[in-house]
Amino acid sequence: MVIDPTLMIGVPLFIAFLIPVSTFINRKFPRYLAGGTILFNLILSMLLLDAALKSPVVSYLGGWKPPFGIVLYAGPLGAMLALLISTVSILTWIYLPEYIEGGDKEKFYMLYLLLTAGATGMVLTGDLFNLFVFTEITAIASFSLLAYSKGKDEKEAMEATIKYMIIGSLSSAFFLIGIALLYSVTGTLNMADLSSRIPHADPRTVAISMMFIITGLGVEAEMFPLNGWTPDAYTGASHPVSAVFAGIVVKAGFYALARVIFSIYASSTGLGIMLVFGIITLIIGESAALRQTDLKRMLAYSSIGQMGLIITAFGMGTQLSLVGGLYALLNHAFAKTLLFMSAGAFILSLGTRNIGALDGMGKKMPVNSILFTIGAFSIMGLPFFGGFISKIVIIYASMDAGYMLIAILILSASVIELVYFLRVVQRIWMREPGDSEVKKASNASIISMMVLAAIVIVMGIYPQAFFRILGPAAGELLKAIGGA
Amino acid sequence: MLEFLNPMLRPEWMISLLFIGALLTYFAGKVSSALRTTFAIIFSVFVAFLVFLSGSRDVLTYWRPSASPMGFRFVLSINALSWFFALMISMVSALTIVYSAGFGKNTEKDNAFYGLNLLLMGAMLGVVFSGDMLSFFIFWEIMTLASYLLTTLAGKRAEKGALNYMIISTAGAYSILIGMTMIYTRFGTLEFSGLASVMGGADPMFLLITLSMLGIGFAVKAALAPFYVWAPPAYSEAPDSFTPVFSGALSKLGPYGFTLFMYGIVGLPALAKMGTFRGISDFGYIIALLGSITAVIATLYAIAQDDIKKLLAYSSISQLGYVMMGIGIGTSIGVAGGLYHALNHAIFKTTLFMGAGVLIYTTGSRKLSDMGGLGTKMPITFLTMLIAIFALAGIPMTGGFGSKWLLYEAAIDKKFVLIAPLAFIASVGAFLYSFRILQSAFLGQLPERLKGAKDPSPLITIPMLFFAGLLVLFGIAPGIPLGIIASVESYLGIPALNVSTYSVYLGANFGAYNAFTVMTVITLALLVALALFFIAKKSRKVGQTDTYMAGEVPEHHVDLYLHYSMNFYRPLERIFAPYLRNRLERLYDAFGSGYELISEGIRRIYTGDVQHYVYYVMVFLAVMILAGWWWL
Repeated sequence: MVIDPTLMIGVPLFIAFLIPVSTFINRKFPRYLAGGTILFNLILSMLLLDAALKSPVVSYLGGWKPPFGIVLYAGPLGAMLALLISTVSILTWIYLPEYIEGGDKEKFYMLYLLLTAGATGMVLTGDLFNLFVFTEITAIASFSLLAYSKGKDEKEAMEATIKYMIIGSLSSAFFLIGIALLYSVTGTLNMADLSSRIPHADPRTVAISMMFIITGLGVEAEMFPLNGWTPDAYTGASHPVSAVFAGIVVKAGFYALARVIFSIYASSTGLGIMLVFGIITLIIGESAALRQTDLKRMLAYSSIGQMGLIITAFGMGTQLSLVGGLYALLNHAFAKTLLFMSAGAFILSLGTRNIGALDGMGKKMPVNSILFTIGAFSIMGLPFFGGFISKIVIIYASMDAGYMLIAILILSASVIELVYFLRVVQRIWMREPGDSEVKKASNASIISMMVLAAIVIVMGIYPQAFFRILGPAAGELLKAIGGA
Repeated sequence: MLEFLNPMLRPEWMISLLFIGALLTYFAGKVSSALRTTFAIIFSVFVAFLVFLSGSRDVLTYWRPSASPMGFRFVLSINALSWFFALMISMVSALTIVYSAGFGKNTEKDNAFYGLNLLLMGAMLGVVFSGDMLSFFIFWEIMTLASYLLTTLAGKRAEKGALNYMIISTAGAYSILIGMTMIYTRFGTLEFSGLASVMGGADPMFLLITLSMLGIGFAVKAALAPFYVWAPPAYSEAPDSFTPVFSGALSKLGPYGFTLFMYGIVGLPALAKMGTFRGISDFGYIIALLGSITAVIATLYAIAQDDIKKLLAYSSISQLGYVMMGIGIGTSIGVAGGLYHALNHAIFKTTLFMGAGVLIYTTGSRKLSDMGGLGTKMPITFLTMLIAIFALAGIPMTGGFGSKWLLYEAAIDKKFVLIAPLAFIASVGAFLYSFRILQSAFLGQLPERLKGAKDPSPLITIPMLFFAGLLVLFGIAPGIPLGIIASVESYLGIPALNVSTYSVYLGANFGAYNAFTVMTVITLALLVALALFFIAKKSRKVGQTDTYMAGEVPEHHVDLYLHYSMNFYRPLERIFAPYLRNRLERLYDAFGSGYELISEGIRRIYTGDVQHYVYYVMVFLAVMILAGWWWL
């Protein structure tokens, strides 16, 4: 069976706009409509990945061949990320009911579906302008989801939204300027065409367009110093939205950045920029997290640090480093989503984001505490968890490529990470609990967290399953820069 | 008779049995605590038995994972060196599990305790059985994780100790990782057997860097100066029934790493290329010097302790210093002394920590000044700890004498005027602090509240008696352990020690040492002393505080301050106190708080003001464009 990737973008987009109408049938209907659509995407993305591992799936919108029509291109990498997006999306969908407040939930589900569709579009498109459009859809859905908050957090969420929107619109403007510059010298927007024409175009314009696009996409990929929006957005958002930011939005944004640098520019300067700013992002993010007293803000900075690690790994540009970077990307997507979810359950029952309030939660909410610990251990890179494998591969890769300093910096940052995560984990397990009552997390949310925890553990003890996909995925990116 | 076990005498069997056992034990605890404890004992003792049976014959196992991006295979192997350490580890771990079962406490944490103990035992065996660097590192990390989690089971008290242990261990493990990847990228192989043939040819600079990187990681586990700061709080605050493994078995992985990489892989000739000092390599000399310095410093700290577990923790550090001294010297006598002392230390320190656990359980306090006079109430505990302390202090009749003697001879043989005296000083100190345990806990008067004290259950006393018996056996027949060590030495390419069952021949300068004769003489002398004691016995029992109170009736709280073991070595402490104010810990603390300050500054980059963020974006873009313009 040939899977048409168009369906994975078209169907959710269409249904998203049906959702406000569907609420007339039944108040609960929007939730299940959204869930069904995501499930549809999940199944399709599995089939797509299976097909893409054999040969890339290419689909022409409306039957127009490029360079005139828009093309969707699902290689192993894109298909894998589409699967990642729908997995995180469905798990967060299971988790979320008790964590969103406000009456008109259909709006939330519409935006949620829109975000999933936009992010899926970002990873499957083969057209630069199309990439811009999907980035915008994702960004606008993210802004609105971030603002979707009622009650005492409303003001904070609003403030975070404004910040995110200001930086976000700046970023999309730069992205668009970059595309325009590129179009002016090459006359095409198809990625495959672009990569073949760029070597013959005016190098200075090409370089400047690249700087614009890196600035534009670096914002979404949380690259320092473009990531000012991150801490506030993660902190202000409701818990499922923070989880989706970490698991979907940032990953799709990073994919776009990597795709542009590897496949379109195939530029070693671009790789150098990723390497340098990646390592800076890593150090800054982890250091900033060290002194946090706010649980979600700590996770936000940790997320910045992890993105720094992934960007660094990609910046090295070898097969091994890409596999390591992709492994870290998957691990971070699952583990950080898990962390935001379980942190959400803590915060919901405690009513505060203060880390000091977590004393003795291991006795009061044992299951949730174990899930949080698994997520934290995986991010720290302890054995039996996905982070361990990714760290070993990345260190091997960096030593192999001759970047000893980078390896030492990554490991130092990893020690800092260990310190602040262990402080929280020890507080949860080793302190005596206070006598306040806690509200247990719902069964549905526990199940979705357990699935994430299971994925993270499988990544740690049976990595071969993932290497089988990551090898070709890394190869796909490398092909463009000549396997260097 | 036991041939049916032969197919199981393979490293992968032993390790997977323990890992499966860890899971089974944990989940059995959800059903019944008796079932859980039985499982834990059966799995650990059975695997220890398998290790014992397997002997040092060479066994190799390969496993090549499919679809790995690095193209390697995992190798597990049993050889003379790994068997020696595996025997030590499995003996200590298994018997400590039996010992913990004797306390019969049943808290919810016990499921995790037994599960993690089996996991730790499996990981430690994994480390010594690893035949390639990657499995070595993976098992090393599992070991660190399991021991960290076991330490955290002690609750709030252990918070700081556990965190510091994990941070310093992880930093050490990363240092090992860097060293290993350096070797891997240079030689393209991860396997020890392959490396052993190529590492010798590497240039001295490369060897020095990689060995130092690896050495930092091993030194952390061996608690060698200046990396020992994690050890006193971690050893002393870990659960009482875990500390025996922590100090007895786990710390030996440090010396194992050094022995493996220095002699098993790099080899003596290549070490000598890095420069020599009086016939031994500079690298080895530095290790030996650090070892002897550690021995002295930790001994001085140990003398000043009133907390029995803290005292033993410092004593562990100091004894590990001895082990490293021997391994660093690297001569036939030195390595034999180091390895023999490692074995002795594993046995006597496990016994001592077990005894400390019993004392703490009985008295409810860790302070030596809260104990006293327990010798008559707890004769078995007294006897086993007495023998262990003899071994610790290096008194003849026990194995400890032989190993310390070898270490001294090794230092004297090479005329190390710095190392040998340090070793002697540390040894005198070891006698001082270990005598203190005996005197404070078992001799003197029994406090009123401890009248009901008695020896613990057989599950606890049997492991302790077993270890004490081993120490005496080694004292009479040092040839048993030294024979194994001689085969390890010949495996490592070091001239093997010349031993027979009762005597050790140390070459023309020192002649032979016949343990049996020494034993007989000492026993006779003791008998004479004992006879004299009974003939000339003139003693009168006096109240505990009589000497201080001059006959006045003491108030209730007075004996708290006037217990005979308070300020036991006050004059000595007064001399050394100015030099011992935890200088190293302060250095680490200063580094930590310094970095916290830096990170506080970094945190300020995120001002929360969106105008600043926009400014960052614009500056980034401007710099990038200018750079791009200028570049092209």
